[in-house]
Amino acid sequence: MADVLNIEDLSIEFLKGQRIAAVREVSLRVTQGECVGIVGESGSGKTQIFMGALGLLPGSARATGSVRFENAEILGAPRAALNRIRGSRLCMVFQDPMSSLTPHLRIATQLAEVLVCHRGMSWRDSEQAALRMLDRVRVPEAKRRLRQYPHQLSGGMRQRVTIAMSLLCEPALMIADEPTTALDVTVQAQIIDLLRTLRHEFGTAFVLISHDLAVVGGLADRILVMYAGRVIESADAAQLMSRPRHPYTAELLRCLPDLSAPPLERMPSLPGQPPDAAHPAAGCEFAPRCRYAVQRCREQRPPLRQLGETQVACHFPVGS
Amino acid sequence: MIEPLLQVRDLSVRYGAASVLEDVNFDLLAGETLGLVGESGSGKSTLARALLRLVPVSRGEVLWRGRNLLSCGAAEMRKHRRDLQIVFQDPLSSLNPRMTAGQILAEPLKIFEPALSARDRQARIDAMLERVGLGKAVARRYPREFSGGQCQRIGIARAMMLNPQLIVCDEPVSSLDVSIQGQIVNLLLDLQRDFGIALLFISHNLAVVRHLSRRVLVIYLGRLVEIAPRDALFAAPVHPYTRGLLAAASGVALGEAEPPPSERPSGCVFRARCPHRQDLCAVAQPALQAVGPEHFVACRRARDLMS
Repeated sequence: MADVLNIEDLSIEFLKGQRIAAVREVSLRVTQGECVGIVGESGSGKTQIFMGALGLLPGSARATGSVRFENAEILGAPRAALNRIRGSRLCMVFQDPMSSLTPHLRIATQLAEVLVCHRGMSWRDSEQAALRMLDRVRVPEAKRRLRQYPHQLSGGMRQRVTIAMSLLCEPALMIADEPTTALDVTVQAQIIDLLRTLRHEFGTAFVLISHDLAVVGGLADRILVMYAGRVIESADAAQLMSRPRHPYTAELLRCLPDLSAPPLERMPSLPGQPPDAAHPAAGCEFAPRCRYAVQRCREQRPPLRQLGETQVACHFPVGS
Repeated sequence: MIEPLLQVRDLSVRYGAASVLEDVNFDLLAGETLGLVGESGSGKSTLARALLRLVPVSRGEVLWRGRNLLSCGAAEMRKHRRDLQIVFQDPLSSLNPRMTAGQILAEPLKIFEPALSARDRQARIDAMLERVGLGKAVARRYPREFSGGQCQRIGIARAMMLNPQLIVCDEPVSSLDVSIQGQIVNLLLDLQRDFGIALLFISHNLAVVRHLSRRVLVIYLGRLVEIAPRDALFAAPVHPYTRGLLAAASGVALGEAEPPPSERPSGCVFRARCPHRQDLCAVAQPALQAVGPEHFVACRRARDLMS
């Protein structure tokens, strides 16, 4: 399978005030039609990778490395070149559907605009295409919704609209950044079902970014786990969920709620605090919270290495 | 029969034409942990604020040890406020950025125990910082110097300073990372056990509510639809919405898309999404009826659904 996206050694630093390394030496490939999940907690750098790749970083940030999309280098590409692919070949769906829609434009206008701009289609044809797309993302009463404004829709419908918008130009890659986090529990499951169906219908490659391993585990073919700006584990989804090798991944899995099991006395949690990006550790960033850490972990940073079917950055992987 | 600490009777809140809470009724016993589960727009935060008189109430009573908080005067309300505390969702924005952790914790003592010497006050603050797992050394630090989880510990410490009888926790772990949520839930459990405080714990997260609660209230579009002891609710939920919520938490989607809040159906509030709806559900919102010990459901079909 051909690579749709190939990120190599991407590092992103924020230089304003304190120097903060948000992303450190991340490499990542997405092939045609594949769904790659990126899991990490807030501040782990999971979103910044793609802000960097799409040229959406603020001026105070510096990105180095390489980002190839459909075989063209896009890191640092001029805005005109990026504008040709952003929103058409490469789309992003954000966490909060309300703030990614324009509040004073009808849904019809916002959707049709995509095709008018990228495909040069007429407004009339574009609105017809928008209506068909709303049906495909299962927005009930699509015709009526097209005439409405974002505030008149429920949260789940708004997220369906932003998904429809990103699919209009049949992108090669859709990046969904916490697409269900701002939604209610009952709606989350609906959106995940929708993404699963659309993936097969459109053959689009997906990157699914989430803090929730359960969400990613249910959709992705492959999962990367991030901690303090680095990839610390990467494996097949089934492999990672059943046999995590990094202690952090294992802890995240342990913290997943299981409503079918009898309630525990204590809620599972990790000790310690999240890493401080302004003060990177000399050794493994997870060592201060790791139950297996020894002196070597605090002094020497473990590189990402191949271990069976998994890539893991740990001196003493779980289960070896 | 113990007198409940808090009795909520027919509590209703309207914002203009929009009814946010309608006829909410429940009791909270001393030392009890009561979970309140609902999704965004269900009115759960409004309920928390209405209990503490932080939003205007259009109808109903909030009886605090038999006294109606909604009709008592400013002086009496002030007296009750020491016993009734709240912890908010966003830990950073609920702390004054220009005050140190120590100053934030000193505030309630200065207001309610002005006779306390500076030294005794400091001792109380140090002890509380230790108790919530931060250590007294952090007293000089400002909120921005703490992580989200640490800020929430300060929020909890502030609520604890006056030895309250009830803490209303409004989504206290929702903005925290998964690995930190458990720390805060376990801290609340410890404090509840050690000091016998009652907790009203509000969350959209079923797993968190299950850990903490003795009983659980389920709210949908401003109405309580089910009240049940924890184990009964999770093992044998009755209301179709509760069932949908539990199924969704394990990945099974509810069939129908949710209507926008402005398009609230007539009759039962859940009707538009309910797989068991019948014509009679359009008539009026059903009242809560008992279906088991301490178990109440607002659904006309509750009996059929249980068999």
